Amino acid sequence: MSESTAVHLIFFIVVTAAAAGAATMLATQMMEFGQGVTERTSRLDAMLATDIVVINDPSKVAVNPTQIYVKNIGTRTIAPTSLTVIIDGKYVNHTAVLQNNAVRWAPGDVVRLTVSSAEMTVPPGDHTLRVSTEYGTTDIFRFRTS
Amino acid sequence: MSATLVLVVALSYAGAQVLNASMSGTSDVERARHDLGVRAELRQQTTLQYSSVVYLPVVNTLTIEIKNTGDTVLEVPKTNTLIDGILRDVNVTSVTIGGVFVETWLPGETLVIVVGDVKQSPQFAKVVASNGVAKHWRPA
Repeated sequence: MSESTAVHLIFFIVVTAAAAGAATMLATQMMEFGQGVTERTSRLDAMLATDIVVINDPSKVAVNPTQIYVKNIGTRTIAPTSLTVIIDGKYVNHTAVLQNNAVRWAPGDVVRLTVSSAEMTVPPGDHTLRVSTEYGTTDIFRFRTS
Repeated sequence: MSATLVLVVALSYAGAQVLNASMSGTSDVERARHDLGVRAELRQQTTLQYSSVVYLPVVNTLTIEIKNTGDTVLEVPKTNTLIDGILRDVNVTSVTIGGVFVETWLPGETLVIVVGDVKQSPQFAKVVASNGVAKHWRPA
């Protein structure tokens, strides 16, 4: 009788420990999944709220150095230093200056991007400019220089 | 029995966390998607029309009169002016509607923008509304 009780007790402890281990593992996985969902929806939310437009005149873009004016037409403040600028398929370094030397690129405000002539000389002809934010929101602007 | 209880409690807690995260995230994304649609619709309803563009060489000023011919209320301080391809917001000396400084530019109203330090008669101007809708101007 006492032997049977001991066996039952050992069996009970083993099963409970295994169940606790399995539960911990599953709970951890599910919580990581939940955290992933939160992060992904947060990024998607930011992407949908971010919008930009290049407001240059396509026939009068100042070149050498190239001056690009980008307006924040979304509902979020954007970090101007996070912009990616690609001209004719080539990534270019640039400096970003906000109007009135503001530090926040608020909705409705314009940031001036200057591409140094050393970085890239824009020859006469048709060009394609692509400006992207850190959230992937992009504006494509085609312009002509003479 | 106790093992089943441990599993049920742990999985219920984790499931609740996942459900909460999913519902909260979905709600935020739905709101952002709705806002995106509203912004696009407002841009579609925005139109501008130049009433006159006058250059005064004696005082080096360009006076632009532009009417909000759409259905959208625009923000005056967030309006931008380009002259001959250069952003000239810093040279704008006054922006008025009916001679008064205002913050909002209502449908049907004409905004008068005076830009100083314009050295020569411009060949191009562009006014960009607060929502990004723009109107080009070239001399006739």
